[in-house]
Amino acid sequence: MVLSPWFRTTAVDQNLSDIQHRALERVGRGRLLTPEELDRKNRAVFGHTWGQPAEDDPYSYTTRSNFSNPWSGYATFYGGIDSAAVTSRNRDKTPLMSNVTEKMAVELACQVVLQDFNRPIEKRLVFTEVERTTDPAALAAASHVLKRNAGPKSDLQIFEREIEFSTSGGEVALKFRDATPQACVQDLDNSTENEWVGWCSHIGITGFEIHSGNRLIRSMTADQFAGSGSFAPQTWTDAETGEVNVNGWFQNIGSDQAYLAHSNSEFSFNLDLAAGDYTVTAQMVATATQGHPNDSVTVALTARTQGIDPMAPAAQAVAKQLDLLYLRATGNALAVDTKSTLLEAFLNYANAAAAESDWYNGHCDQGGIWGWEQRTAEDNDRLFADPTGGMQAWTLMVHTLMTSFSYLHD
Amino acid sequence: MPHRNTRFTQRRRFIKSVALGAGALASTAGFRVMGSGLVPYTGKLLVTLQLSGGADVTQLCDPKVNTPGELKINNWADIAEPGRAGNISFAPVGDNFNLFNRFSSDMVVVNGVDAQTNSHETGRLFNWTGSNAEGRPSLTALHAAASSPEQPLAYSVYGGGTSRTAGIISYNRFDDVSRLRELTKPTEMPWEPGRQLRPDLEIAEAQRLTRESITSLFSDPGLTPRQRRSLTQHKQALDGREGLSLLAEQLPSPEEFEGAETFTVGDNNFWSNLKQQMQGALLVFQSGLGSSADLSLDGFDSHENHDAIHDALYTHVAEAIYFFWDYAEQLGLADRILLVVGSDFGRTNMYNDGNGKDHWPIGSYMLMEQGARWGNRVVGASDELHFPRAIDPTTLKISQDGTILTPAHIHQAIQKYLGMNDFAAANGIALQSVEDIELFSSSQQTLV
Repeated sequence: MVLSPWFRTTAVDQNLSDIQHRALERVGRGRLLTPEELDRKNRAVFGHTWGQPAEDDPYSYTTRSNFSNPWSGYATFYGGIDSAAVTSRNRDKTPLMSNVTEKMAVELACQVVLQDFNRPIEKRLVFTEVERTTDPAALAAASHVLKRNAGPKSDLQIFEREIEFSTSGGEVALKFRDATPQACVQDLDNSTENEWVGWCSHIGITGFEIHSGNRLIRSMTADQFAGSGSFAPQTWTDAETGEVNVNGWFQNIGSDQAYLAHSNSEFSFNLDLAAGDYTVTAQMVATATQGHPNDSVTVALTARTQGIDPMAPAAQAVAKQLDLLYLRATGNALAVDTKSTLLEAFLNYANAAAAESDWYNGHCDQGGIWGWEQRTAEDNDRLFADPTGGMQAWTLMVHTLMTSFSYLHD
Repeated sequence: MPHRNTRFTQRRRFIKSVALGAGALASTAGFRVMGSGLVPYTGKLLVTLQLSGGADVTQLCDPKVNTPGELKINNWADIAEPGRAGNISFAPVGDNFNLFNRFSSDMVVVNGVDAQTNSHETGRLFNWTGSNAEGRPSLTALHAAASSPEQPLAYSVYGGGTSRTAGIISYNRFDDVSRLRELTKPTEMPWEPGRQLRPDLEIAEAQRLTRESITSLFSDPGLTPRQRRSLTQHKQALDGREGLSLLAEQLPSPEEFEGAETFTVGDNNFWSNLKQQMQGALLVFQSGLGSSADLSLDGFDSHENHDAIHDALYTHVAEAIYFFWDYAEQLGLADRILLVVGSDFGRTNMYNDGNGKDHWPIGSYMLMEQGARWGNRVVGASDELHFPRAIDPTTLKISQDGTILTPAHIHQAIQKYLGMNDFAAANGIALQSVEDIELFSSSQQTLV
């Protein structure tokens, strides 16, 4: 039977008579999965299902989930049976069932993303091709640890760092992000309920040069930033006054000037570049409040396009991850047009999420992933860091997949 | 067993015909998908209230005084006489006085109904499906399937235990009425209405991409008929979610939902969310998304401490029924509802050693409707020791050659009253060989 055309048919000649058409409406692929099947599919594809606790009850012969709990679950709302009053499964999807899968996706997609990205990449089930910070608009990305070698921490120390990239031409944003873990540390001895006291570290820049081969394409120093039209520091808006403020400040450093960013904020330079290979050499600055326990700061340096350059390694990694995700979840290759639509949505949402916060936003049932034990602030920094909006964008992708026809039907 | 085989075949044929019917509809241009809910249901509404465990109707609507020379049937009869509201007698227990005085003109009481069993499960089955054999739908399932099969919440079950679908319709079970909010607003925080679980943009984008993928899939010429049919349903279910928002808009805030009530009788603690069940059912009705609901109150299986338990539970039932009709009136639904109150069976015509009463097959129903032209009546009867008495099915008078009422008679009459009998017959699930009784006559009744 499994080898028969009935079972294996994936497409039909559309010149069917009405009778043939009707006869085939209950045959072959396209059957709505039952709650039990969907439950198992979630576990198989994502390693976690909806409503599954962090650890299964060792004394229970069944695993618990929102589709398997007979008393407070959603199986009966999803056309399931209770083997008593309802003994026939509903295979015709209703609006209520559609709401059930929407709720499943809203609650489960974020758990899948948080859980998987917080595993070492070699132990991941889903996101094997990307890191949480993989940015499909990135032409290149580099992370530099600027470690102080001598002198007071409050001194401004200069480090030269590079990033190389290729572009097909157009606007490229050079983004400098302070990715220092625990950039600000609270002084618990001297802080009060009303006053935060502590130490903060900062990154900054005195200028940069862009070369293409041996040719200097452009250079800029900090005193030119403000009038350049290409400098884009991160800003914040005062909720009460509506005033827009820059997340940083200019400061003299000897006879030169430097721009310093507020802790864990970022700044960019938007440059119009012709197609070619480029090297950016930046004069970076690091400083910290005297007494700060750390000796280094971390700069995440990215060259980004406005859209997606399909030849860029990061864009290719995200595209490959989408291919694998859909193949794993539906058994089908992702259509080119659909992938293009998804990539665009991914990028737009990641940009929006990153502009909103460096953290993974929105509610997610963390207890269902890691249990409810108290975690340290450092643990939370590690688990929920989402500086490029990548994890939120992947949540959007998984949500979309979980509510898709292809995922919910065989 | 040829008879059983025949029925089995008929059931299979029926399910097959329903399935093919739905399939045929789905392939027709302009078909409105099942459950779209875009045209709110405005017809008759049916609610059943199961007094679960076996309610003593001699302390409710079939009052019995003690008979000299016989074991005592009711302690209350030592100090009081049955009350009377119009043509309906009632026991002076709980808040029955107010209950019957307020609603006697809106109700018919059916006494002396023989459930033919002392088993809870069989009693519930018989009382709510009209048959003591499995395989038949409960009254509410039949009504939902006949009147509003296209509605997403056609048949809602609160509490459960009495509901059978026989494959003619699905039910939505709400053990916790707050589920109504979760399922009508699936992206919202249940504990903070109005706030999304995930960022607004994420949800909006996911929904946009899901819709775009459907449009894209429809353009695939290689779709199998089943895929095309399922895809059509998938899309229409998505579109129909708008209908569920009708309910969401009408749901009160969590703090406005009726809370659960607890009360203690001797060593027994009782918990009831009956008013919340009623509220949920009525809100679903108001949204136009459903036509039937099963409600349930546990605790009537009083093998010990019988009088105190029944007094407390009947007081609670009366208060809940006041709430039900007041809330229905407030929502503008009261004139569309038929409320049927029943139980597994009755309780013995004597007390046991623990001041309890055990199982007794004879029970009653109370049918209520606002302004019922058939109200203020009693149909059927039991004798002084609560044995059923036969009645003439037409005149409803006591008749030795008459009929002992069973739940089947009540179901047959209600099916006809609500116009479900043709649907039941057409689908091979009509009650067989059950006499018609004039349950909804405006003039006939059983006078003892």
